[in-house]
Amino acid sequence: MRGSRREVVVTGLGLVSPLGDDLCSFWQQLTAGTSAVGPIRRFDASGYPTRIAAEVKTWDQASSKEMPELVRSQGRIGTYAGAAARSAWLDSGLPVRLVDEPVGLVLAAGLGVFDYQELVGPCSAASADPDSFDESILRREMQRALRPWAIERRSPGALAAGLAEWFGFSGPTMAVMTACSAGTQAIDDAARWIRNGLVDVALCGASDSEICPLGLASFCLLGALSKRNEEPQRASRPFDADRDGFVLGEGAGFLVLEELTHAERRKATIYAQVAGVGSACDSYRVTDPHPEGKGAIAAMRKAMAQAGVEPGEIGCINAHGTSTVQNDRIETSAIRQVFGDKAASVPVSSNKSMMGHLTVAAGAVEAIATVLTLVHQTIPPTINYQNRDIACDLDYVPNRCRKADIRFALSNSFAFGGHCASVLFER
Amino acid sequence: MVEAQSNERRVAITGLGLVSALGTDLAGNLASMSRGERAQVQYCCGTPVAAVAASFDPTPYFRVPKSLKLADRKTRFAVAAATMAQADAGIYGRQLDDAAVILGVGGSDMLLDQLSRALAPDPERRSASDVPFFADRVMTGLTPLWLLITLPNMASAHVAIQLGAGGPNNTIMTDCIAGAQAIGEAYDLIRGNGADLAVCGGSDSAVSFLSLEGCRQAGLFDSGGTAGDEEPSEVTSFIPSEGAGILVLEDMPTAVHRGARIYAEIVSYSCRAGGAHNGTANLMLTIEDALRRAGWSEGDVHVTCRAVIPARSGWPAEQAATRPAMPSVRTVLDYSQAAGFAFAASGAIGLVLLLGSLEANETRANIMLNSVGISGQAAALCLRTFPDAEI
Amino acid sequence: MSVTRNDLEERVIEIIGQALDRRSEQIGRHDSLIDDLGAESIDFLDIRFRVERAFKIKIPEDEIWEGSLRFEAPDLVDKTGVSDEGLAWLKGKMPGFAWGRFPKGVSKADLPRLITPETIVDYLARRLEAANT
Repeated sequence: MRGSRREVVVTGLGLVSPLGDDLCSFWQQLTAGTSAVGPIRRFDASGYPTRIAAEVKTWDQASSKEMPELVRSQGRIGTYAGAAARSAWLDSGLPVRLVDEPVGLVLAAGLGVFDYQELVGPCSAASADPDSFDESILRREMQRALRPWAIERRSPGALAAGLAEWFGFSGPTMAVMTACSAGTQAIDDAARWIRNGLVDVALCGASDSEICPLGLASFCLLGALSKRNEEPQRASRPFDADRDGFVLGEGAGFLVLEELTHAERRKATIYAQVAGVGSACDSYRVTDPHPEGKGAIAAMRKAMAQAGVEPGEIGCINAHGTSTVQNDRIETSAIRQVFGDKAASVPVSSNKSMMGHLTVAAGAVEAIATVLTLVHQTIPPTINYQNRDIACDLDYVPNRCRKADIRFALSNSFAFGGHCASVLFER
Repeated sequence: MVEAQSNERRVAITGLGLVSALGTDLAGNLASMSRGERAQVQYCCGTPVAAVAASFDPTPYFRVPKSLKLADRKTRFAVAAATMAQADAGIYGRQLDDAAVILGVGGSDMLLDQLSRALAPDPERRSASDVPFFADRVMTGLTPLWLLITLPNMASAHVAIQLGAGGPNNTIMTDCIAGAQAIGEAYDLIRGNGADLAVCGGSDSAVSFLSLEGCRQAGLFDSGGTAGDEEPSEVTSFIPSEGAGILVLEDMPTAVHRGARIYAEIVSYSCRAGGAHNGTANLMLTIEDALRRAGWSEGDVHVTCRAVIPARSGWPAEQAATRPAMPSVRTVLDYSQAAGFAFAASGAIGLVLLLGSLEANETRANIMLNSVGISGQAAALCLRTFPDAEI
Repeated sequence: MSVTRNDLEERVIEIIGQALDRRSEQIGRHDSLIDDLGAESIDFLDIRFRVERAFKIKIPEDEIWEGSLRFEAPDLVDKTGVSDEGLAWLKGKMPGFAWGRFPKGVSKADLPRLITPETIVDYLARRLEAANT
């Protein structure tokens, strides 16, 4: 129930994604139904069962020179974060260094910040055979191989500190990591800070890149990735009956959130309002989602309850929609539970059909897509939707974007471990 | 008269759980401390370690024993300490349905020993440069569960699964302040009506190869260690360790109504970034802010518990706030001397030890918890205990 | 072939026990891994990995799900599930299994629930025999 409480609005957006790193081309590609998936070019992936991904092709690499060493040392995850965060901050129109008031920072980041050589080199020397392992050899090799700032790279906290340093922020700084729901969770946390009065302004977002030898291997080992290597652009097909797993993407997305009157006082351009957030946990298993989507249902309901909104008022859902057999089926069922007889008429679309799964960064970049959906009153499509699955029977905005009158748009993110997060935006 | 700020809900701490290098439960830790004992330190490859006792058995704490194969060390500590805290709070079954779980954790050890074995034999070290060769070895030789064991959010996921907690679930990785920050964030969540109950704290295991070599690279061991496993002539005061400190937080009226034992009330929380790598400046700003929110002055604080990591070598002491930021506070406690420094878990372990010992001594106190990380991030909480439940 | 059927059973049950945290005595030959022994999807990956290493073979990803069910008679299973003849054949082959769980037949989604220690042993016996000939 909203009333005299503090309201949270979005006043800045910035991203680095497989579909581009400026808002215009990103939106244009998204609505055109362009697939960013292709054969992996970054390294020789011929030894893997999955050899395709949605790699970032263009982004402002020169900007990394200006970033503090703590940010640059964190590889792509660091530099994507730096570029997207800077874009979002500049987009907001807030002063480059806001020194008079504390600004909060919530960052979600993946853990692929140790180079291949740093780890694999030492590991290849430490075991003479599969049954033996020599700790002293590993550690001696690591002393030579570890790049600087190793202890800082142990967790994303240092990246958050590096970004706060670069922007001169003096407010609360937090790094969160709930895997594939973390991007939405970061927005949830920043919105809560503003609503509860810790700060009036917060920069929040997420960055990840697991398109590297160890990252790709870890997902292949779980059998989670599509093996449609011969047709990369058709591999990510959320809700389609022939889906066979997700496609890895990468990138970063940041949003500037502000307390409403603070934004109005400085005549900021307001993209949308964060009407409600919701976070819950399946508390079931580490990979299998709860069979009834308990956590997903709770997260969606909480976001709507905080906004004081009924399911019938939701204009569209930006689904988690990974293109795995399990997620898409259970997310569909959860949406049915929450929306009841309105479920069949709520458009549900998955950006992952085009840009793949950005893992930790997914929720943040998809939140940006959801905000742009409200701004442009156009829902991006779920591409590659060709075969109806009887267990997935909603309106997935197949293959073509759609103009619509949308006041409220919901974005979902779910993760291994059963974390579920939703954010509801209002025009 | 000190009072909690504003009209938001008040938050009580009603349960404590602890696993550390000093003891495998809270009672064991307090007993060791009362005997003046310290965690046993071993030297491995020239660096000191204080590990949780080998006798620690996580099995009784895992309701679903099959989950153990997925649980790395910090997950085992977290589930054990969370189960202890939940039992200590007297909260069971359906009462946990909507409970939040917010844990601060450190980075994974990446199972490098298993990765090494998977790559073997590789006398020419081909895997270091030949990705198809690496891929072939890893796809056949590395456990498919690798990602699920190493993903840091699994600690809070397993706690939620074992306790049946379906509320908001978050994993905080803000470096060494993560555990203290998790407690503060849980407090903020409850006071803002985002949850009525939270299981929160920190869990970490900084005794992995990656952590220890990272610490060595940063020059955190004064004496620089030794070549091998013998104790050096100059013993460093920085001992990486491991463990989990977990607390149950509840909104005050519910806690009082059900007759819960109330260890303390959290009165304020602050987290500030005042400048890169300037732990002292950040901590001072954070303390000032936490005091202001609590309506306290520095003189109102009886006891401070500090969890502060040393500075990187070559940096001045200001970077790590090694000088006391609150000169007028009578009692400053630093449990890392007894239990070792458990990185992300350090603040939570310290707070649990302090609350446990104050409760044991029936002491009414205004407490501050201060935590500082390697990049200078700082977090602070103000709390007060009331052994006679004078609320 | 040096491994007897009994050896095979013992080793497979031991592996399943390690993966599912159960003692060998608690595991019945016809127990459904999912319905009786509490296995989830990642446990099948884990069991496959352990079996591959123990017996030094590679098991293609989709073979572990169906175990021996397809191996002998590929027509038993189609896109939707097990055919009527298939079901009759299976019931003859697996008399000890709890068929009462499937009063309406076995759909494609149900197939993993038919995996038992016995079906894994059958699969391995055939693979090892084929490797020897």
